[in-house]
This record gives sequence, C-alpha cells and structure tokens, in this order.
Amino acid sequence: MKQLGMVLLALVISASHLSAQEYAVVSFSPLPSLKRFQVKAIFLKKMTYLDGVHLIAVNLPPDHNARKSFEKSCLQMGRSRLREYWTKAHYLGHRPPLRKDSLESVQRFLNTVEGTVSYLPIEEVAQSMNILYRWSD
Amino acid sequence: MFSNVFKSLKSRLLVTLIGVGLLPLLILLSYSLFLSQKKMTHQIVQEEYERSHVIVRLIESDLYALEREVAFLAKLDVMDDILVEDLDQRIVRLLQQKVYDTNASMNYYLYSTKEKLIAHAPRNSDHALDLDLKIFETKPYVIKNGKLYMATKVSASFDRSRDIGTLVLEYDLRNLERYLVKSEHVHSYLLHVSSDETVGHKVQAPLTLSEEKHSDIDANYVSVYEKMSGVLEGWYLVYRVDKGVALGTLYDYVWFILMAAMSMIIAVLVLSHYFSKMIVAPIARFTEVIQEISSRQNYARRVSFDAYEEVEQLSTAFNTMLETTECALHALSLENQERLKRLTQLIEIFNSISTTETVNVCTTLAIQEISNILVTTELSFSQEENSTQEGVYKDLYVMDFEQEKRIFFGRLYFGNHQFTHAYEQDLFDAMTNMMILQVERILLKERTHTMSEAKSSFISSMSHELRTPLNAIMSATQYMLVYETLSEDQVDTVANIASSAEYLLEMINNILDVAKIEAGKMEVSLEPCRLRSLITSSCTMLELLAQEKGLAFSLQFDVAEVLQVETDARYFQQILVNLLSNAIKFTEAGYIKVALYQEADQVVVSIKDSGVGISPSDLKNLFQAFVQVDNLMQKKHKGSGLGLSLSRKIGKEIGANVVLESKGLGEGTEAKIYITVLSDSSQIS
Repeated sequence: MKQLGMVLLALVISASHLSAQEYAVVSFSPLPSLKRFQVKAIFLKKMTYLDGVHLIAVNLPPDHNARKSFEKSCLQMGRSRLREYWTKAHYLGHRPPLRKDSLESVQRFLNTVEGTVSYLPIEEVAQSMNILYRWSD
Repeated sequence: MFSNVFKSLKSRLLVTLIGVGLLPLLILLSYSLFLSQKKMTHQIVQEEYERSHVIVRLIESDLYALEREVAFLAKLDVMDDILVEDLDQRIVRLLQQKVYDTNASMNYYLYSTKEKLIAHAPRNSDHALDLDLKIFETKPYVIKNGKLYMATKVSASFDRSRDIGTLVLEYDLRNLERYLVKSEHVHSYLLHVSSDETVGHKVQAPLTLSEEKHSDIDANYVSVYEKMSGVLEGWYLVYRVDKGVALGTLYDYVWFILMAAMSMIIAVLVLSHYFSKMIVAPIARFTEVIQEISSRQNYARRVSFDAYEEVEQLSTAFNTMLETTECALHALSLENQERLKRLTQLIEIFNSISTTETVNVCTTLAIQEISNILVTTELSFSQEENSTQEGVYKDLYVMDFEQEKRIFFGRLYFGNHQFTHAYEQDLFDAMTNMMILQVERILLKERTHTMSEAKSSFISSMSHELRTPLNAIMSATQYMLVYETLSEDQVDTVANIASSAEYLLEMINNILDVAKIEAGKMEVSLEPCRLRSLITSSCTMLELLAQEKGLAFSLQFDVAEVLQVETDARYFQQILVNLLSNAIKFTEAGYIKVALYQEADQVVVSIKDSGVGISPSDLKNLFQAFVQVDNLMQKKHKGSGLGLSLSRKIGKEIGANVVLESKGLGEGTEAKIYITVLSDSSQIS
C-alpha cells in the first residue's frame, strides 16, 4: 500500500511536470534579455526606456491564463495588490499597460509598434521575436 | 352754440363729470392700446426670442458635446487598436455603444493614417465615407448634404505625438429636428443663408434676416431668428409663429380693454347723466316752485328741499325771502289801500271843491277838508294881508286875468301844526293849489258871466236903440216911395235907402238873436210839429226865387205825413229859410233839391244844390260868426256872415243839428238838418 501510494504520487508529480506551460516576454525591438525584476519594472511602468527604446508594455486580458501566470510568476503580485498599486500610480500620472484582448492582437501590436513588450505562451512566439524573459507555471 | 350749452348748469356738470370720468379712462386706454401694446408685443417677441435662444444653446451644446465626445473617443487607449486594425473589435463595439447611447442618426468612421477604414459603426451603415479626409486638414467639421462631419486625429495613447488614425463622425442634421417645432401655427427651422440649406420645415413666407435685429413681424408671422455659432457657424435658427397665435393674448387683451373701455365709457356717460340730473333736480324743482309762486302770486307757499345741505340752505333763505316779500306785499297792499282811500278822498274833495260856485264856499270847504286830512284844528284862513295873527302861515295868491298878474288872496295859518311827512306837505300844497285854481275859476267865471251879460245887455240895448230910428227911416222911405211927385232918380235913391235899411234891420235882428242866444235869453217853445207842412210852406215861399233864377226846384218826402218832431216851428222855419236862401243865392244854374228822409231815430232835411260848393278848409270855419267864404258869388251877394252861425245856434236851442257838406269848389253843397223824431210818430211811408 505504501508503495502504491508512492507510485501514485510520483505519477501525479510527473504528470504535472509534463503539463507545465511556458511563457516568454517578447518584443520585436532589439532588446537584451531581461531579469524578472526588469520585466516587473517595465510592466509596472517603472522602466519606460531601455537601450534608447521607448518601451510599451502590453497586457492580455485579466482572465487570460498567460496574464494570470505573468502576474503570479513575473510580477509576483496578487490582483488586489496590483489594483492598489495602479490606484496609487494613477494619482501619480501613470496608467496601467495597454491591454489587448487576444494573442493575435498582441502579436500584431508587437509587430506594428516598436518598443512593444508583451508576453505570450511560448508556442505563440514567432521566430522573429526577441525573447526577453521566460518562465513557466 | 357752446356758450348757450355752457350756460346750463346741468350741461356744465355733465361735461365736467364726463371729463373727469373719461380723462383717466382715455389715458389708461391710450396707454393700454399703444404703449402697453407695444410693450406686450416686444415682450412676446422677446419671449419667443428667449425660447429660440434656449434652443440655439441646446443645439450648440448638443453639437459641442458631440465634438467633445469625438475628441474623447479619439483619446481613448482602445484607439491604439487602430495599430492592430481592431482585431479584437473593441473599437467597433465602443463606437456602436456610443451610437446606441446617443440614440441618433449618426455614423462613426475610424481610419488609419493610411486612410484605411479600420472601424465604423453602426455595422449596417455604409462602409465608405463619401468624403475626402484631406478636407479635415483645414477645418475640423464639414456640413454636406444635410450631414455634419466631425473629424479628430487619433494619437497613440503611449505616444501622443504619433497619429495613428482619424475618427470621423457623420451626424445627420435631421437629428436636430427634435429641437425644432413643426405644428400648425409654430415653425422653427435651421437655415444656412448662403446655401439656403435648411433643417426642419421651412416656412415659404419670405423673411429677410438681418444682423442688426433678431425679429420681424409681417402680416402673417411673428418671426425671431438667431445666428448660431460653433459648429453651425453661418446658420440661423428661425422661429416663426402665426401672428394670430403669437399675438393672440395681446389681441384678447386689446379686445378686453376695448370692451372694458366701452363699458366704462357707457357707465361714465350714464352715471354722469344720472348724477348731473340728480344734482340739478332740486334746482329744477326749485325753479318750478318759484315759477308757480310767480304765476299764482302765492307768496304764502314755502319750499322744502332736503337733498343737499346747500339746497336746504337755499330753500331756507328763499323761504325767509318769501316771508319778507309776503310781509312787504301785505304792507304794500295796506299802504296801497290807504293811498287809494286817500286818493278817493282827494278826488271827492276835489270834486266838492270844483263844484263850489262861490269863493267863500270854496275856501271854507277847502280849509275844512285840509283840516280833516291833516287831522288838525289849528288851520285857519284870513283874507287880511296885515293880520296880527301869529304862527306859521302860507300866503295864497290868485291870478288877476284883467291885470294879468297874481294878487294876494288870503293867508292860511297852521298854528302849531307840523308836517310829519313830505307827502303831507305835498298833499297840503296840492289842496291849496286846487283851492286856488277853483277860486281862480270861480272868479274867472264870475268875470266872464258879468262881461257876457254886459255884452248882451249892450247888444240888446244897441239893437233896440238902432231899430227905433231904423223903423222911422223905413217908414219914411216907404212913405216917400208912394209919393208921386218924386222923380225917377229920387225914387231909385229912396229905394236904395229902403233896401239898405232893410238889410241893416235884418242884420240887427240877427245880432240880436245871437246876443239873446249867448245871453241865454232866447225863448223857444218846443212842441210837436209836422215837418212836412213846415217844409212845404217854406219851400213854397222860396220856390219862386229859384224859378226866377231858372233853377230846377224839387221837393221829395220819404217820411209819413204824420211824422212829428218836437221843436220850435218858427225857429225851425227860420233855419230852413236861411239854408234855402243860401242855396238859391250861391247857385247860378242847376237845381235845388229838398228832401226829407229818416235815419234811425232821426229825420233829416236835406237841401242840396249844384252851386259853387265849399272847399274843405272853408267848411271848417263856416259856422263861426261873421265868417263868409271869399268867392265870386260872395262878392255878388252881400251878407253879415251870421246866417249859418245863427242857424246852428238856433238849431241847438230847438233840438236840431245843422251840418254842411261839400265835395269841394264847384261840386255843390248839401245842408242837412238832423232832428230827433218823436217815438210815437215814426211811421215811414
């Protein structure tokens, strides 16, 4: 029984490893790889320029898995904390990043507007995109 | 005419009351009809203007809001989706929602900078915008074909300096019709002057818009208009209302004012007439009473009016005057009676005095009457000029007609009597004058009587003294005429003497008769006589003389034979012979007609001739003694001029009236003797 329990646990763990989604912070602009805190600074609009490029952060909708993962892994801030942050930032003249409702839109925006930085599931990242940061669930 | 009208108190009151009543009314009416009407019209226009102004502001506000809305939309972050060609349809949804929220006929078009249509709403609208976007480079909005186009550049939210597209709003101007009115009487519309483009129902009646004013009133409409600004620059909001509706209240007001004014004018006229009549009524009644008092002489009547205090005072004063008048009239009546009584007394006294025949009786009676009237016993009369009697006196003088001057007649003593009134003195003077006049009359009468008697006595004596030698002369001449020894010349001379003596004797007899008559010594014997026989005998006597002169002599009686008159036959015949002699004497040719006829109770003996006639001037003097008419016949026939005078005087004594009539010289003469017929013998044949 004990052995059976251990097998099941191993299966579950291995299954979860097998289903983990990977995401990447991407841009078409020639930007260097970023650290998580740099990504966080960009999306909290604490950093707007990098290597002379005006950075434009683009979010996905709040209920999108990529966004949830991004907030959890990269920003490491819960939804209420983020709301509190942007409320304060709003009064300082800062606005949250742009939002696009679909991955296609994000991709089109990344392709259209120079300096755009967004995140995509790794499988949506095009070859020409510059991956600045990667993470997974 | 007006002066006569204003003489009447009633007319004056009426005019005054009407004036006082109508003047404020006319002022009010003038104010209401002119000034008030102007103000109300202005106010109505102003209200319409305010109303249109509100609409203008609403439209401008609405369009401004649209403009702001477009600008707002252009600045939204979602507009960044232009860059991704709105893959998520977020812009479309947003625009659709806006169109839906606006609930108006409008379209949004969103173009990229490459003029690619990124999004449009609503979905069912035409996709293409029939407009070149370059037009918006010079001005942000365009109006074309009844549509307003507003365009706004869209910039990226992350880089406002970066244009990413153009948002165009196509707004149908008919949406603005919700602010406009289209009814039977009220029309409002938007009008673009230069293009004559309109929104809303345009009234076809001509209207000239002016920059200086904002209203116009023509025959049919009250129009107000206001130039718009902003998006609709160059447009006007025109608000036109049927004049009857817009000014309906004013017309009602004017009608009401006119009706009220007419009613008030009628009321003023009626009340003025009533009050003027009411005020004047007591005076009219007062006048009637006065006229009644005047016409009936009823001064005992009293008036009583309690209409007004003034009229009451007037009636009281008038009653007082009536009482005074009545007392005065009563006193006047008494005094009049007294004066009448006194006048009667005076007349009686004057009659008494005037009938006195002697001076003594006259003076005694006068003194007595004067004493009675003056109620005094101290009056006395003395004919002694040097009397020693004391007291007040008055000397009386009478006229001496012989010496033609006034001589002392007597002195009237008053004793201690004092005249209390002036009229008493006048009365006394009148009575003494009357007494003096009567005394003078008596004295004159006595003197005249004495002189007449003396004259008659003288004439009688003279006649008698003349007749005695004249008879002797006549006897002697008669004797000598029959004496045969006288020659023919001597006979003629004696005959002349006899003839002259006869003529002289006739004249003396006539003078004697006149003297007798004047002295009242003529003795007549009046007794019934038959006229026809008297006339026949006289005519028979003188008919021969007429025949000798070749005159036709006729005698006609139109009365009965038995007709009698009371007269003296001898004297009657004398008159008749005298008149017949005159007729024959003064008629050279023609006729002598004697007629007897009756006129009423008188019988007339007419002796008519065709002789020389008498002029009217001579006719008046013929009956005076010793008067003869101076004519050719008179020169041929001698006469004393006493015949006619004597005939008339004798006629008066015997009850006959002698009258001579002639139509003038050469027209003959008619002598008539009128004598009263005895009543029991007036039988006309």
